Amino acid sequence: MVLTVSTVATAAVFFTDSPSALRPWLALWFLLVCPGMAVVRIFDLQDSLLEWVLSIALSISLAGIISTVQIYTHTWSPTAGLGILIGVTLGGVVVQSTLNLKLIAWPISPASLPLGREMRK
Amino acid sequence: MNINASVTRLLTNPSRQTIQPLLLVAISATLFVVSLGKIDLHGMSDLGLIVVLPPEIYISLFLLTFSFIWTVHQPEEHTFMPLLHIILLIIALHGITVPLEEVPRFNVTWRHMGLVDYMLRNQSINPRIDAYFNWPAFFVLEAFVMQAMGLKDPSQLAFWPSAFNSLLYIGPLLLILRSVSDNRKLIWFALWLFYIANWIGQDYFAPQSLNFFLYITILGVLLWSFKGTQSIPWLERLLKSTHLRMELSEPQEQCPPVRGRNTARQQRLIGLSVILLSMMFSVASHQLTPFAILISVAVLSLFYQISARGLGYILAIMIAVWMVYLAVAFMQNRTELLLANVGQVDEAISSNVTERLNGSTGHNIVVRVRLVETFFFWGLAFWGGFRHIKKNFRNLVPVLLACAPFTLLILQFYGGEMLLRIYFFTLPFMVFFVSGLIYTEFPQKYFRWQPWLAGLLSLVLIASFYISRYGNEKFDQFTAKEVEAVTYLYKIAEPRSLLAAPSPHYPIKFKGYELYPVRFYQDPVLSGDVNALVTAMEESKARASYFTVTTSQESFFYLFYKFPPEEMRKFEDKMVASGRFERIYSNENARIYKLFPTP
Repeated sequence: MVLTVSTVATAAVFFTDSPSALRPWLALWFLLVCPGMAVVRIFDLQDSLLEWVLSIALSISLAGIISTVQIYTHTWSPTAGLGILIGVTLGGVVVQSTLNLKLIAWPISPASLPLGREMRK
Repeated sequence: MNINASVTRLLTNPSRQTIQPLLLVAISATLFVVSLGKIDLHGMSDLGLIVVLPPEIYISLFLLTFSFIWTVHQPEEHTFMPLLHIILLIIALHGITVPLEEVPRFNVTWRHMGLVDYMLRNQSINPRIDAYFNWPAFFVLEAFVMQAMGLKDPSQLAFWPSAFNSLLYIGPLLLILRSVSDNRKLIWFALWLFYIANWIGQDYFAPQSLNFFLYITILGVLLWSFKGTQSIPWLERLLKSTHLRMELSEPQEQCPPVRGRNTARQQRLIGLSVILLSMMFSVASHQLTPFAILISVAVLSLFYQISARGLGYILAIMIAVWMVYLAVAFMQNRTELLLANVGQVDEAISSNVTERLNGSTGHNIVVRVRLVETFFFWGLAFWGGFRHIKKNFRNLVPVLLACAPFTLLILQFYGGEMLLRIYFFTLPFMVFFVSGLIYTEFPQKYFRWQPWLAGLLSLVLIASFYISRYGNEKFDQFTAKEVEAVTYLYKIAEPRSLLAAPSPHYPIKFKGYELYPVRFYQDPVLSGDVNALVTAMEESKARASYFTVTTSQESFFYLFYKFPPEEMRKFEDKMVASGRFERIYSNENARIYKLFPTP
């Protein structure tokens, strides 16, 4: 939910070129955390510190790589760059939601989980 | 370490163990904020910021340190409370200049702002300009961030990095520390020590600061999710052949095992992806850090401390590809020079250490404090490392990663700053050993002395921090008037005009990075030879030539050469008296002179 709201808010202030005082903080939060967190949370890491570290590193690296590729290919466009990151974030959120829905709709029995198998042994 | 559980417990069931430190933190923070208003930067001497810090700052930090040590020694485990103390420590030590200074400090910051400005104006790269354009990714990212945030001026980004980057380092440092130890007090005190001992100041608006975050993140992820077998076949064969008995292959017990094979596999999958992407960005944004990462990964692989043993080859290929194809403009003309520096350890030490030991009395004290602090800290760390190896030879990781970056010294001296960078790269492991000296190596009967020793060490290092870190503040900090003067210069100087000055210690190159040749002429100023200055400036054959003198440069000349500001003014009067210069701008912090063309 936080990821979705952050993404929508960032998109709103950026694409409307809003002069709002909130814009820098929203954009910074989004660029620093959201794309990475959306991807990292697809994986079941069970470790919040690792999740945060990976999310921030991934967000920074993605933003850096996208913008660097743009400048080397003479296709500089912060709009497109931000659009890609928004796409990655929303894509990650959709995948997370789909995985969660599958778990609710088809609950996996403990016996079919690797951990469950080990415990039964 | 669960911060959510810690905060929930604090809110629903506050105890003396949480209320007492909260009160102390509140008093410390209030005292600190109030004392900021008493600081007058105009009173700084050649000892830097420390002379203008009121006693309340030290009382505030004493309370914070006392509260932190007390919190860490409580039997109840907390994450939020120690973290809160560390965040406040970061703000007090690394963020203190933000509310005090009118404009971003440090001349290199302004140069980096100029690079961001270049990216925004040109939206392309010209690798022939200088080295920055061969590793441009940091500046490109900052340009992107500026536009996303809707900022018009790069200086709005450049004010905050020290505190911001220091906060970013918390996560990966905790990841590293908990990978090599499960001793809670050791971990928290090591993290606390990191920020006190990090006087280097490489966390400013620069590629190094962000790349350090990637360096410690990559190491943290490798150590946590890619644990090796700890069995070192080649070493065991070597020991066998020498008939030495040493148990190497028992598994370490520092960290609880990851729950379930599936989770471990997922951690490794996303971890490896993030490592590779981080490395890609690092290779494109910094000359040095990719080598530090490569050397650390190679050493860990060689000693079988990580399971991703092929990673080093991939990293080496990334570096090679970048240098051969995308940094070729820089490498073409400098390969011989770079290779000539390989192995020049004595020259590296000379340019890093001994050549800095000159100048005014205050400056010499600052340099000596830095050297003493560094060697004292390294001394403690090596003592701690030695005892660590004696007691736990199997836990090689911190030893390997504390030593590996030293190999960078034999490569090249990196503009006289290699030792500083090595100090930075090794610091996470040095603090582990120093913390371990207090929290694991003590005989049990001395356990009650642990908090006292930890507190004493903290206070000694905090006291020296403000000298070491901010000892050059007299010329590192700039004023709005200096920026105003240089802005005026950029307004009147046509492109391809020469912008000259006695030294680079003023806000320059933040506009028109590629449009103006910038030169520095300290020798003619020191020798009082106006003709030599004229000759040097005319050699550039620029369209027009300007010479700027600022109060920060006057401070630099005094600190480094004992050249007083009065002598600088006399030189400027000689310049005008020679008939070759005309003063075209003046404010309380800067003067600009224009060179008349040769008649």
